[in-house]
Amino acid sequence: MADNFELLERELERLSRAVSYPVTPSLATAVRKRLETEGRPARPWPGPWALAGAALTAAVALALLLGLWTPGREAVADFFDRLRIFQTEESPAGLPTEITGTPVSLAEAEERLGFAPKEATCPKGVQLKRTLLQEFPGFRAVVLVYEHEVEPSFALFQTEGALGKGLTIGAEAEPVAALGDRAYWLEGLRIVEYYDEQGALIRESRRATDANTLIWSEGGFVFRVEGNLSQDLAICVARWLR
Amino acid sequence: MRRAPLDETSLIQRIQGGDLTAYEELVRRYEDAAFRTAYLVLRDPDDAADATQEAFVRAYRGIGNFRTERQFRPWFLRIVVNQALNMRKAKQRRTAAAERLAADQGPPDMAIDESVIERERARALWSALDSLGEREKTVLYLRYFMQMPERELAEYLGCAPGTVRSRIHRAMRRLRDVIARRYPELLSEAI
Repeated sequence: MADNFELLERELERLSRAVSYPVTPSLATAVRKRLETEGRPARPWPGPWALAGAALTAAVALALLLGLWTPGREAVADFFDRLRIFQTEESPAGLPTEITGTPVSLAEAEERLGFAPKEATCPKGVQLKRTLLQEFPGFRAVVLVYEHEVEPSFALFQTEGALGKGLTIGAEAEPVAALGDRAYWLEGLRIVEYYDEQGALIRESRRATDANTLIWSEGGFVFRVEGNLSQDLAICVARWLR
Repeated sequence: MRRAPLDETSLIQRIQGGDLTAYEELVRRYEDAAFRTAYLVLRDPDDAADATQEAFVRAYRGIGNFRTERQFRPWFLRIVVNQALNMRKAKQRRTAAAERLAADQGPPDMAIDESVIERERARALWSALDSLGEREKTVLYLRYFMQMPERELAEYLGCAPGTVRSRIHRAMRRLRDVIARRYPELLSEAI
């Protein structure tokens, strides 16, 4: 079959012209009524993670003042559990979206990382297509890219490093129960970023994604399943890692 | 009546200053696009109206941080789509198992002008579209149903304009593959 989509495009355009949309309800008054009780537009609510960050800042400041704590990699990693989710006003426009890394074998990845990457066994028949090693100064991760005959492809990330997920407006983070030490289901446009051993942002690691993501921390590792999967399927991937 | 971009910029600046009348004007300007987008995702007019209203409320809360050099429509439609998807997911969670089984039969048919496309053909195309992932479906809805230009799609997707075409191409390839597998008669007739 030729890779020419002109006829398919024409069919979609015909279909779009044929759709009889219901009459659009007039929403201006209803929206105004709701907003009148909420006051002028404000900066978005900082969210639980930003509040947690503020609490951390206050706690660290107090601890430093009392001489009880010195900043270091463990403290940062422990507090954030290697996983930081926050809201951001930044536009991800211009950030790369592709998952990049150096193609390696699983054995090479294990040698470089110092741990054996877990492999996906759910959904049944899932095939490992490639293994990528992501290396930045102070951060390493392995990405296993899977394909399946029926289900969408997905990427399984594993790292001992720390990473952050910046939620842009409209993106959502929903806690997921009974998975690892802490787990979240993320939807919407996000910025992914890695941090080095001192907790400093690795600027060149940043990319944007709007793929559904299940992210969880477990035993000092951070895992994430990124792809066009349903939440149930992503949880299945997570629960059946080997 | 369409206004020049400068007018929209002024409107948004007034809204950022707390002018609710200006926001009412913005709601009127975008409620049609927002409602139709939500309806494509939800296929239910009441749910689409709820999602649209909630999206407008959320957008107002976030507009203080909106930079006026950006385009409003893709920024706002992203909120609409996310709201519609969240609403659909919440509804699915509430649906009892037996009802879910019925819901798995597929979303309800949309009203179609059969003088433009035959009903069975439209049904097959919808069904093929429904089998795509959310991202792919959304890209095609915005491009072909909402006529969103590639420049705006780039803003919506948060990617470089050059990447948009490859995203559309990927979604079209998936759609074509689904049609080839499930509705080969469509391919022999037209594609």
